[in-house]
Order: sequence, then C-alpha cells, then structure tokens
Amino acid sequence: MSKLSRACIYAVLILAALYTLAPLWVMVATSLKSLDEIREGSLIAAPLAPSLSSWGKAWSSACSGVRCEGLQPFFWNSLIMTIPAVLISTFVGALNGYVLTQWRFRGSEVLFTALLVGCFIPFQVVLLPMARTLGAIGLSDSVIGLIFVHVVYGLAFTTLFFRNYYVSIPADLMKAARVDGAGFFTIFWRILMPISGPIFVVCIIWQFTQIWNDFLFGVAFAGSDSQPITVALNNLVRTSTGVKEYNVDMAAAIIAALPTLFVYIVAGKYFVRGLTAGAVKG
Amino acid sequence: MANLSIRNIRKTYPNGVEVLKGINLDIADGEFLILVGGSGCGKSTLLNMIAGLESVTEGEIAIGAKRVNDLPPKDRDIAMVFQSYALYPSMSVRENIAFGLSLRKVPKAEQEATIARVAKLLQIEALLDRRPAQLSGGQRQRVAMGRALAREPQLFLFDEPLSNLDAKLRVEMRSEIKLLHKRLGITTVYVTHDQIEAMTLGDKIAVMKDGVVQQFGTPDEIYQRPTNTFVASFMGSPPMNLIPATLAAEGDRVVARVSVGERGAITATLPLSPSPSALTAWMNRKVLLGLRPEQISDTVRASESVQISIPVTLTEITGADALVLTKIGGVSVVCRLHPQSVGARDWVNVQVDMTHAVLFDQQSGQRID
Repeated sequence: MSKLSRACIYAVLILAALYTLAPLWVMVATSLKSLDEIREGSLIAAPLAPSLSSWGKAWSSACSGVRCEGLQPFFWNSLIMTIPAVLISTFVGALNGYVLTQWRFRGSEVLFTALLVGCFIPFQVVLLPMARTLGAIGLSDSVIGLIFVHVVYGLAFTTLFFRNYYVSIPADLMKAARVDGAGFFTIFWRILMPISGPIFVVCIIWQFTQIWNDFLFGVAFAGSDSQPITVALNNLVRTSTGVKEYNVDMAAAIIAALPTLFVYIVAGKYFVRGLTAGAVKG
Repeated sequence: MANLSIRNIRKTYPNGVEVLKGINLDIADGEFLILVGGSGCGKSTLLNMIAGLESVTEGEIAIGAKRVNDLPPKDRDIAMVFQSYALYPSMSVRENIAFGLSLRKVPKAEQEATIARVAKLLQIEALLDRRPAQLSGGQRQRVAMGRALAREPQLFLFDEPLSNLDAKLRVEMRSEIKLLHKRLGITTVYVTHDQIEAMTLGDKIAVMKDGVVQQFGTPDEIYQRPTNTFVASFMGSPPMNLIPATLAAEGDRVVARVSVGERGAITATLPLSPSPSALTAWMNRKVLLGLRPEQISDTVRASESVQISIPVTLTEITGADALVLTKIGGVSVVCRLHPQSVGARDWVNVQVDMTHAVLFDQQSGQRID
C-alpha cells in the first residue's frame, strides 16, 4: 500500500473520529464554562477558566420541576431500577434459552418464534395494556412496577441472545451430564453457567443500556418519587428560572450518560467477543 | 455385572415416524454387544433408550433382570462414552471424572482414590489438571472413558467413540477398549457404523437396518452365514460377492452354474459342498451365490475347491494381498489373491472355495438353507 493511500485512510478515520467526538467535546467544554463565557465565546472553544461548579449544581441543587435537589435522587432511582431489571431479565433469559435449546418440548419452536416477535413490538404499543396490567396488580407508579415492565419487555431480547448461544452446545454434553446424574438445575449451574460468560456480558450491556436510557416507560409508569434519571434530565432541562443554564444542562446530560459509558469501557471488549462467540469447543 | 435384555422394543416419534420396529436382543453378563448399521438405522436411538435418554414407546428393557423402562439415566447404573466425548468444557480432567461421583455423594477420599485408579488405568495421570480444550483428540477420548470407568457401572454404553479419531489412533484405541473389556469384564453395548470395529470388538453383533435387526449373532456367524444380502454386503471389506448363478443337479450333487468373463461365453460349474438338502425347490432357478473375496483365491485352503480361470479387469495391491476385480455372472467380483501371483496377465487361475458358499433368494435377498 502506498504512503498516499495510507495517509488518506488515516485522514478519513481521523475526520470520522472528530465528527463523532465533537458533540462530546462541546458538552464537556460547555459544562466547564461559566454562563458568561458561553454567551460570549464560541461553541467549540476550550474553557478559559474550567470550573466544576455546574457539575455540582446539576448533581445536587438544580431544579427539575418543583424539586431542587439536582439529579442525585433520580440517579439512585435509575440505579435501583436498572440493576434488578437487568439481572432478572438476563437470568430468566438464560433459563429460557437453556430450556428452548436443551429441553425441547412440543411447541417450543412456536414459543420461540412468538418470543422473537416480541423483539419487534414498538414500545408505544404496550403502553396502554401495560398501564392496565400494572394497575390491576397494584404496581402502578412504583419502582417495582417499572422493573416488571423492563423485565417483561427485555425477555424477548435476552431469550434470543441465550438461545442463539446455547443452540451451539452439543446435545451429547447434556446427555453426559444426565447420565452422570445431574438434573435440570445442576446442569444449568455447573455446566452451562461457567461457559456462558461472554453472552452474559453481551446481555448485561445490552439490557443496561436499554433500561438506563429508557425514557418512555419511565415517563409513563414511574411515580413522581420513582422517576428515572432520563425523565429527570428532561424536566431539568425544561425547567428554567429566567436564564437557561447551558453549562448545568450539559453537565446533567453527561452525568446521565456516564453509567452506560462506564459499562461499555469496562466490558466493551467482551461485548464484541461475545457477539462473535458461538461454538463452544469441548 | 449384569445381563441386558431387550424385548419387543419399539420407538415412534410424535410425528409418526417409527424408528425402531420391534427389537429383541439378549446378551449375557460380561458380553460385548455391537449395534452396527448405516446412518438412520436406529442404532443410536436404541442406545439412548438403553441409557434412558429417550423414552420407550413399547416393549421392555431390563438390565440385570431389573426392568429399567421408567428409570432415569442416573438410576440405571450405566456409564456412557460419546462420539464428541462430551467433556465438560469448564472443568479440569480431574473435575470431569469427579463430577458424577460428587453428584452421587461419594466421599471425597473415595473420589480421590477412584480418580487415581482410573487415571493410572488409562495413563492420564499427567493430564488431570488440564482442561478439555488443552487435550488432543486421543487424550479427550481417554478422559471420556475414564469418566465412564469411574462409575464402575453394571453396563457400559459407547456411542461411536472412535469416529472422530484419525485412522492410526482409532486402531490403537480399538485394541485398548478390547483389552479394557477383557480386564474388567463389564457388559458393554457399543454403537458403530464401522464394520471392522464391529467384527474386531464384538462378542455379539446386531446388524440393523431401517429399525429392524437384520441378524444377531457372533462375528463369525455374521461373516460366514449372513442371513440376507444386506448383511452380506454390509459386513466385510471388501463386501461379499453376490454372483447370479443357476442351480442344477449333476449326479448326486447340486452345482451352481455361473458365466465367467465380459461376454459370459464360458460357464463355470461350481459344486456346492456340502450340498444343502432343501434345494430341490430351487433347481434350475436363478439364485445369488455369495462368496467372500478370500474364497476366490490362488491359495488353496479347502479340499473341495474348484479351479477356474478369470479375466482381470483391475488389480489393487494392498500390500498383504492383491484385490483382483473380475467379471463373474455378469457382475463385478472382487477376489483376494497373493500379490506375487498377479502379474500383468489378462487371465489368472483361481481356486473357488465352495465350502463356505452361501445362497440367497434373488427376489427377497434372504439366505437359502
């Protein structure tokens, strides 16, 4: 390859990277500027006197609606909703995948197809039926209700992930375990779980991103005390007392995005590995 | 230690496909049973049913006089070795062997002793702390057998255990399995599609096709007196020659007349010896004359052999012998000759050993006795 074409490739890649990173840079830079500087300076200029004060305000004292406690309470709301919802949907998805591949029964393929259709149902379609259901079982306006919604909606995806992973596991492995005397759950815990690492990572990242970033279910089903951070961010940005505090808005937006960023950085390389992993060689 | 009895076993899948159509087999304590047949003959299904991995539609399976139809695999006192070895990928060799023991709550010390004994028996002591992914095919095979041996079962089940090994290793492991069986004397059922494995390993062989046992007997019976043309051509390599022949009475003996050569101008007369008594109905009718390649040879063995001259279509030297392809009765026939006696000649003289000739009905393919 000639030097020129290599230079061209790098130029294109660098441009693409700059283009992708530009919004993040604007957000970070703006969040560190004072309001005066924002008003006078250019959008992409580096902050002259970087200050974390707008971050502090976004975290603990900015007003969203009538509450002026910053994003902090809603951050915890999101956390106590997301973690159980991710774990439950992932675990049940793993069990589903296990049953659908290794303990096939009459109609299991039909059931799987039905679950697959669940992946294509838009959020909006389930809003009203879900609201009725939550009301009927007494979980309206609660974190538990929200967890329930996310688990139900996420199951289609998690089941699909695990089924496609487990389908490549040789049937002989199950037979050997049964002859050895292992039952349904022993096989799952002792034989399948230890080789499911990559797909768990994929599933957890996927579910975490989906659930943390969800706005619609949060705005529709959460009570005022259980609102997730996405809904609070929206309220915070739209609540203004006179001046629009762009630096606080930007800081708040970054805070809301940090956990998913963190999950990607920690587990990102397993994500790709898990997506491409398939065959489990004995 | 147990005998195995299989009575009228049928297997029908929910979609109506009948894969086993009434199987009856009996083997004594310590015997080595081979289930052999092409793919789709039902041999693996039958093995899975013996193991309890598939349900029995009809009939009865008994291990050591105890009906096991409704027992789960773990309560049947069996151990199984699989074609893909099926080692637990996340466990070391030691843990693989110990898994079944710990599930049955065998005390730790006893587990250790068992692992040591099995590892010594199979010479896998050095591999105990490795994971299956770090083992070669042959080593995995040994570990899979070790895991089965650790159970000290009443009945050993093998599902094509050597199919994934290369040719050399397969022969080695074959003799090792045979030695192991000789030493331990555990009743064994072994599924294979390889007729050489079947012949070398089995005390009894069940040749299966389309869910039916075609013949059940010792390797010798199956080789020498196949019940039908399927068994005759499935067992043996190269397979038994099935030559169209006409039976005739000549004096006080029965002879089979076959045409020799491309155009069939020459007729050879082969006396059946000893003449079967019930052949009167078959006189002057077409039958199939079954002759193994080594029964058409240049090395005289039987006293009652007939010399004929055959045209050479093709010669394959295998080293130990030369396989000569010729034309008898209008079909291609393989003869096993001494490699030195085959030159570049067009015709060779061979001896036909008629003492072990078998006759088959041309229509039904069944043996004529």
